[in-house]
Amino acid sequence: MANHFTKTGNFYVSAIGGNDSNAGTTDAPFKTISAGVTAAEAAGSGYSQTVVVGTGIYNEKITAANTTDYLVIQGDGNVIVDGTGQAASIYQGHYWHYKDITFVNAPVFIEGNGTYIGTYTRCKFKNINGINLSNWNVSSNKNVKGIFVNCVFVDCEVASTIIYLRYTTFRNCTFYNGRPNGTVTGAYNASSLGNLYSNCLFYVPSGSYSFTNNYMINYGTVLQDCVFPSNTKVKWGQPTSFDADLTQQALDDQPSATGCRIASMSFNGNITGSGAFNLIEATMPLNSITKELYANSNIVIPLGSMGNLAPRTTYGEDASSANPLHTDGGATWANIITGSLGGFQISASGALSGTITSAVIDQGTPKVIKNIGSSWNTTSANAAAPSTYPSGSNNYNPTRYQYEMRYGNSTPSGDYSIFEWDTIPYVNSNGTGSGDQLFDTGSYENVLARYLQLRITLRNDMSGSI
Amino acid sequence: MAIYNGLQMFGIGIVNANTSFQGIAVEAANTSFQGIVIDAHNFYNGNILITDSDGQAVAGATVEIVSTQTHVNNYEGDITAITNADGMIEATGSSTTGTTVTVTAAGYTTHVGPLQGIDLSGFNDTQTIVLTKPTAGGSSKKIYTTNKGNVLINPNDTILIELN
Repeated sequence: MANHFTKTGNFYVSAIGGNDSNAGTTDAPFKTISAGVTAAEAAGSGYSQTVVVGTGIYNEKITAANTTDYLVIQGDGNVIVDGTGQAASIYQGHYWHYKDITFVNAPVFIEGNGTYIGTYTRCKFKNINGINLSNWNVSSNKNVKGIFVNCVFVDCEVASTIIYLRYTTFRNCTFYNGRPNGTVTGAYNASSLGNLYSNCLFYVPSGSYSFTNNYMINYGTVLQDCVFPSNTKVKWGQPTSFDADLTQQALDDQPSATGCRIASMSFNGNITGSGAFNLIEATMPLNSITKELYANSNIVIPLGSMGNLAPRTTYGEDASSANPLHTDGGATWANIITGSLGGFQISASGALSGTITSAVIDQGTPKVIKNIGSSWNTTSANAAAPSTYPSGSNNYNPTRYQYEMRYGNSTPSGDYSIFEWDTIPYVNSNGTGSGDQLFDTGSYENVLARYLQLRITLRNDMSGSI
Repeated sequence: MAIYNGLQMFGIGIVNANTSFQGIAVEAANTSFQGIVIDAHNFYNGNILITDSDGQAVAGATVEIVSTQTHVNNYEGDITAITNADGMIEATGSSTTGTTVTVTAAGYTTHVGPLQGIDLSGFNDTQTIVLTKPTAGGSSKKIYTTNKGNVLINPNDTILIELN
């Protein structure tokens, strides 16, 4: 079974099609990230090796053999590191660079003992205990250092103030329903210092603490061009102790904060259920509030931290004539119900799949489709997922999370093309979608259309044998 | 195969019995799907820079952005603004579809054109519009054919006689 990797590296991992007894090649990938890491550390003495991780759910703690090597862990597709039942998401890996990976459900993000916690680019974090570290050497001579760029943190509440952050950079990051250092009640570890927050967005519900930190001037904490929501609180220790509602005046009076703004925010609320493997609730809808945000040049740049999270249109499972996913809105279901799990689920016992064929979605005018994401959860990791049943000889290609779509500037008809969730959809001149294994990257263009129709298949088998 | 078909029929039969159906569905369905999010926009997010043909900013130009869009999910918006000292206006919120930009400035030919550019990142677009000045001496009466049949431009509008 081909595994459809699009990134290049030294070793390859696929939770769906891999096996740890394999050689770690594209055709014979490992099954766990840890196996890929072990091979990479051995091959390059731990240096200049890239481990490409394919679509799948990895219920493991990524473990480095030592504290000094350097690896790149490159996500390729929808890569979810699920810390359920694990002590942490990562052990050591001090100098590693993680790219395009989603970390969820961990009591501690990274454990070990050393100086650095790594670099993270375009990573997502959900239900991680803050940026919590365990057993870390936090003596005055060995401080924690890390870099997070274009990352999103959702529901990463700090449960304990025992651990602190030092000399960590957050650039273009979003903190949704959580804060990097401190609890919802405003408590913080007074030893955190020297952190940089640039072009970051902090969102918490009204009345909560959106930012807490002791050292603001001493030891150089910097808040630069950040955006905070209305009606939140902040707490900082110096130069003047402050524990009160956050106002624009308070930001302007804080010497370590420059270019920061307070703004009303609005997020999509019509997706319900656990949605463990997505961050759709942190996306912004299209409405007057977000329009005002985008119209404010002082806020546009910090809003860049939302990346492709805003602004977006969402459709959930609600029974509404305006919902193109629901039969009330014109969708067609095969083996689908809305049930007790929350959301859509396969209805028939023993059925291998269920399919939602959406109603035609009218966007009003032709638009470039930047991304279509999904919100889902499963009790059978790597065996069940929203993916496709490619036809004919390509029916061995279920190794990524995919959907089908047809589109046009009139009511779409004809064949559907295959695309991958949470990626920019492209299409070849012959109509092959970028989620299809036959997609040729030699010549392609964006999907630009007014009308969309999606076919979403929930699979109970991802083996590729059907 | 017989078992497989039997399970399917069992499922279909239970569809009419909603209470029982829910319980069995939980056992059978390993995946719950909550919904989708579509990121598709055609709003303009950034500034418009007005310059002359030498690349110098044109301050005080009137920029009108008119969109024909009416759909609620679009960032349609009609904007009228005067360029600042840097020749810039903020156009965030305008649409890039069905939109006409009209720029008028004293001493320049009026510009009428579309709002161009869709940056997939969605941020910090800047479209530059270059204004031109009316052609000097453009009046036809200042273009002469001499007595020897040669065409000359004479901005002073005087009679020309080409001598041997």
